[in-house]
Amino acid sequence: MMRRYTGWLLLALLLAGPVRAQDEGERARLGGYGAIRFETTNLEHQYNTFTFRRFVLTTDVAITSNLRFLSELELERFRLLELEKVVEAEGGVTVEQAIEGTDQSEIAIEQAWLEWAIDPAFRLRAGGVLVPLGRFNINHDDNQWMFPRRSLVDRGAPVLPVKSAWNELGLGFTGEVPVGAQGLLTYQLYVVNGMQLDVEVENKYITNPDYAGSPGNHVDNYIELKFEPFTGTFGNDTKQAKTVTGRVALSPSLGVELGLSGYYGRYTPQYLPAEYVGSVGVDFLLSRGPLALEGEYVYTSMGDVEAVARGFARRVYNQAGVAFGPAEDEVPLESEVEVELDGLSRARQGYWVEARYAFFPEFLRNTFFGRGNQPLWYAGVRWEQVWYDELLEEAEFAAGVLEEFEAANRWVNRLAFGLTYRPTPLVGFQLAYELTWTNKGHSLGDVTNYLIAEGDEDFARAFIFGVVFGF
Amino acid sequence: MRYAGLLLLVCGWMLAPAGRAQDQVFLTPEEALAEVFPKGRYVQDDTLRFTPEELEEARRALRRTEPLDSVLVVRRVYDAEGRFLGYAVITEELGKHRPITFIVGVRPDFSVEKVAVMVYRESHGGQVRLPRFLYQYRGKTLRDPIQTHRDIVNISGATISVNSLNRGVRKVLYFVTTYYRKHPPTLTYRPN
Repeated sequence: MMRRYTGWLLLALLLAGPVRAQDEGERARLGGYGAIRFETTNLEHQYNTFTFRRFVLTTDVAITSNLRFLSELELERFRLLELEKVVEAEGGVTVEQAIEGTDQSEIAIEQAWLEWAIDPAFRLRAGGVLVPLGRFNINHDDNQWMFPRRSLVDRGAPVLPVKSAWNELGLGFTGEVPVGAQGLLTYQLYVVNGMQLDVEVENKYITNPDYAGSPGNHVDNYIELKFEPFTGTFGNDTKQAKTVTGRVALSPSLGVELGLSGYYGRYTPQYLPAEYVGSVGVDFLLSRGPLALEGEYVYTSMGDVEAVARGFARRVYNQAGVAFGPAEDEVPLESEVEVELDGLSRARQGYWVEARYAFFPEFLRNTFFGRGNQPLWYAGVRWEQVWYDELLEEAEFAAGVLEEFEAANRWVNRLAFGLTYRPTPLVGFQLAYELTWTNKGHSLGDVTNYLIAEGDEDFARAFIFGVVFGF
Repeated sequence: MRYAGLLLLVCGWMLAPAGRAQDQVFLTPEEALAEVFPKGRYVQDDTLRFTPEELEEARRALRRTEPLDSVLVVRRVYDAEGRFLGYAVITEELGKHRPITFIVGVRPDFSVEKVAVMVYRESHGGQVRLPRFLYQYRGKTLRDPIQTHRDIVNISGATISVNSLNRGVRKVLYFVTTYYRKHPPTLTYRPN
């Protein structure tokens, strides 16, 4: 009798296994988005290039019906990072380390948080959260936008204290409150570590310094320590004070929204005088049928930047140092260390406005453009302006005293025209034409972080073909 | 025999419908009918059966690659006085992985009266059940695109579910409009 039923029972066990595995797997959703582009400009040293702009993997897990974990891992222009480490012990100990990688490769966590939905109107969220300043940063997925390049305000000439996608580690609340039959009030409010002045270490080796304008025949080893605004740490904070940030938005009906947001906190480390960064943002969306108008304005103040420079000078004491090393083949090694303060301005403000229209030409209906899941075309234009009040250009100090402090008022404008084809809503093929310009006779390289412009290149034309996808 | 009970217990646990807790049932069929036609009192069912040629024509007209069922049950709804209120169709469309069940109420003039989600089986994207989204379908006819970013506003994070509902509403409008234009229903109903 045991033998008679065991076979059926084992069969039932085998069939039950995949069913349970399927149910477990459905709670976790793997998704992502990415962008690839080709761009060409008129700038002399910015070459035509393909770029794998980013590939972001998203994990969204419904742990229970009211506990959720979400993470985003970003690979930006990333292809290769290889580390080789060898230790040899013959006589003494020799340690060799080699790092090999492709230029501009970056791996970053864009978000990673746990949410406890106590109520739809009251959800506790903890972890690395997107800073709710403006509307772009909290909704930055490339495949959701029709232009290949992110806005100046959020990325290219950032008015946000840290360029998008910007996340900070902290804790807070978010929720949605229905307003009437059609309306929705949403809010996010967090306490986070916050933006900080952090250091970037740049190591240069110049084999022909005569060509670079440095007299004498020697090899240069140049180390630059650049202190600039950076996203806050996921480890030990460098300052005692924490930062508050939040956004509230009212949507009277789907497709219409008005948002108000803010950010305030200390950004100087504890070893410098306390200075605070404060931002306010206003954003909107108006969509009716195929037409949409969307925009954002942000104002950021960084306080008394000259006081930060003075405190920095006192703390660092010496800005530069030079040493000459032994010569080989009569060519000595000159080592130079320089400390620099960068990326600060007393205030900055900017906005972007984007208009887009969705359509499908009927003469394309029976072509391959008409295939796919609800294909659409979009035509659009985006206008952007950014102003820097007292953008730090030079801060020189010696023996702990700030000797020179130069700042300038700068601005940058950009006008972009775009055409996008979406065979399905999550995928887009984008064409964009951009015109970018700044103060006459000044370089676009001073006010943007993506244009390689020489001293007098104040105008740029760019053509971009982009491919964006999401899943 | 001694171990059969233990094995049965293990099987019972393995086969327990833990995954079924994912199905969010918002409306039963009766509740769904009342949702789209609150004044509805009497119902007459029509079972529409389509030939392969009719299905192929529908797929072309709807520019649809997903399969279509050859049978569609349409419920004609009348109020307490026997006046014709419209048509109600319960249908399903595949979301990202699992079907979404919803009801579409269609007025006598073949425009949408109301759409309501009955069962949502995905773990994400459930915002499509909210009235502020579903309200967009009200008044739509077969002449409207019923397409995201054309006349239907998308919900970020629920794009696939939005597309599924778009497809389903267009499907119901197509079959109800094409059939009942040729076979007009009785406009009054008197129960025996």
